[in-house]
Amino acid sequence: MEITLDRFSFHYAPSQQDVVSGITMGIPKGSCCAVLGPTGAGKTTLLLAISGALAAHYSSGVGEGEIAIGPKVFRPMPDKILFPEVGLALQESHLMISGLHETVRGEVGFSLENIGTDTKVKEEKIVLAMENVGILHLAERNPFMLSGGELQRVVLAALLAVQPAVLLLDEPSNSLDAEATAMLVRILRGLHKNTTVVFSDHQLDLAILVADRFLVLQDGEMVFFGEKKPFLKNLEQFKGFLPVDQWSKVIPQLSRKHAPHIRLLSRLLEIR
Amino acid sequence: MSISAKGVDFSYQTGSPVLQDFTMDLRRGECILMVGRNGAGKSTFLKLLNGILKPTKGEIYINGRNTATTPTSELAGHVAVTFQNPGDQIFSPTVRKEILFGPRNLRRENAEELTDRALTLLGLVSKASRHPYDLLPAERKLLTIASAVAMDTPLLAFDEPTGGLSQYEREIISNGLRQLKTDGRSFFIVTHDLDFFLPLATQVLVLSSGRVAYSAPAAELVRNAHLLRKYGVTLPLTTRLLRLLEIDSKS
Amino acid sequence: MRFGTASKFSFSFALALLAFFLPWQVSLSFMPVIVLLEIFLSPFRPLSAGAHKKFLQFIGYLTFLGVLIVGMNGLLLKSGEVVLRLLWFNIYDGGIEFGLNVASRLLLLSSAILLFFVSTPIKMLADFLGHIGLSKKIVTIILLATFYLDQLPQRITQVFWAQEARGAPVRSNILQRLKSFFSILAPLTLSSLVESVDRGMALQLRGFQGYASLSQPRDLQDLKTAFLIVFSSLLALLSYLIWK
Repeated sequence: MEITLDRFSFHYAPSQQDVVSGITMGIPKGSCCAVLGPTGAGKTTLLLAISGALAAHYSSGVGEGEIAIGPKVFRPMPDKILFPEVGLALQESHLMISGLHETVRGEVGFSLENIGTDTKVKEEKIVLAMENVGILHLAERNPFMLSGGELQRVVLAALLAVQPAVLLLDEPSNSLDAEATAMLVRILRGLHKNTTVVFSDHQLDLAILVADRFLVLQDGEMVFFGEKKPFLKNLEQFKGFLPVDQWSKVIPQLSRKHAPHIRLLSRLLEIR
Repeated sequence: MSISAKGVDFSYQTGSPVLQDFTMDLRRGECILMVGRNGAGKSTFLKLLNGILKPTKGEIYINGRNTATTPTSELAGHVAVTFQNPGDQIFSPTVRKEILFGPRNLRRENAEELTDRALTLLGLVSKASRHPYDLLPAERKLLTIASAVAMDTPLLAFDEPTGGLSQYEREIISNGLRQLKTDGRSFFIVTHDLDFFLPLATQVLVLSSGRVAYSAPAAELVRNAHLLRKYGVTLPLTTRLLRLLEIDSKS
Repeated sequence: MRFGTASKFSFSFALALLAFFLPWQVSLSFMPVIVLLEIFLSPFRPLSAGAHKKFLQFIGYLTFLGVLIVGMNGLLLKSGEVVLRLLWFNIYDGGIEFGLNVASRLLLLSSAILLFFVSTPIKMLADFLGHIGLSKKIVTIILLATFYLDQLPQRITQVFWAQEARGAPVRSNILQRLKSFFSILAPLTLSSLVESVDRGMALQLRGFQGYASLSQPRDLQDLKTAFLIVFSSLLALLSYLIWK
């Protein structure tokens, strides 16, 4: 589903300052958008707003503008959680664990159960989702005994299992190891055609590998929104609040070199 | 200051070992990074370090004190450990009180001064009188690091100190660690963030299924990056790309 | 006749109710029955070996507490005849009788509640509560509270660890322990409350509807059994009261 924000602003209490302010952007269906910015820039607030959780849980908050998801237009934002069409994984994974199941398998199936999935189909979907994020070996473990990175993958599997049309991920690569991050890249690249993805991050690696739209926030204001090429061209501009140093060294070289494997690499990364 | 772990085994339940025959040494002034897959046993080792957990076999010595027989409250004077999840360790009503808790327990004479210094070092001065739960998750992480720094221990052990931190906080930590290093403190850091810590590190330990699978000086790691792949460790993407470009321009 | 969450709930509820009325002899004779049920009857089987151990431990604590209550009352409540002389102390039978009544009530009440929770996954409790018609909001609140209580001991341990890791001598003596316990109680409650709110949001984000709506209607089928249990225990209670 397409996501459009029109001059969307929000603050948590009537007397407070805007946490996000005047955000206007359009993410086409099947697109993957990275929301980048430092701590406190408003990334989480924006994801909560699209999911419907912001209006549902922060009743003293004040919003303006509008958010459209697919054919539905919400002014200023969805007032109830839009699950299972829209799925959000919170940054603190341990909060997402319902505690109603003793095993990872059960926990992954929790959301499916909530939307009334038939038992047999459910079991298949659970296994598929666990396989997809590489946690089959954890299936019978107690979710509360897992490490931070493992827990994050359980939450991702649970979300992927319901196949939401809009997938919102709040800092999904935070405590993932190298393999799990590679897996996340593969999953997000594989999703593209059917699912619209919006994820937040304060690093660039995942964004450059998977995103085709980039939103850069600072203090709630939109500093940049656009496609990959203009984003990479303006990289220097984000110095100071995004870790651009290494990438600004890599990108010019990648686009200059003519050796075939470098050209292939740049094409894979869609840098040229 | 030293850590010496010899043949350490540990398991939460019998039959499923978390650490096996784990051996390492850290000498004064060193900065050791511990890397490895999610669930490799990294966080568990930190709990063994200050005696919260005791080895099922083998011994760990902190400055010559056996962790199995020395109370954690005494080890705390030698090693300050942070946990991965700030929510597990914050219990005071203000940021300042939270930081002051450690040095005061350890009867540091200059507890107030140590607290002020830690607040400054981690950029939390303006938040000193706030409730820790009013802070953003990233700021809470800085708070846990400040609480450890203020204990004025010769060794600092951190669990994923940059996890979930943005550029701004990472710079604070980077500057802070450099300063602490010149003060002669040693570090033991569990991390996935090789990009960030490699310049500071003297040695890198790779943990795989509870064993030390690879251990080498930090400089050597960059050259042997291909070996680490099978332990779930890779160098940052940009580092790899730059190396590739470098090789390309040489040929 | 089916025996599911509903009948288990009503059985435990009936026992807890009876605890207030039954004489101590009857109450106490229920105790071995509860332990036997926990060990041998499948619906009451504990969720794990750990849960079973905790159950027995708790029964042990309760028994110890019971003996203490009986002893203290016998010593301090100077009514009736002196039944025993211990050095300079007199033990009175009136006190013992009173102590036995209090202790047996406490024992039966707590172990009946414990019997239910030790053998019921929170998931089934949620389903059951949803099926008997509680609203989604109330079920969520009950779940969050159960979760909070479930996690509390672990959180307390973690904060103790954190305090110890920062030099607090929490293991040294009972006074220190109490001191550190009370110093963490307020912030712990607050942080858990803050977390509960977020957890409530997370449950909704995962599509929680109060109970598993379509997939598991089987839990309702033992309502007949449940009704029978409540009805017969009320009948028994009534006839006992009339007879008395």
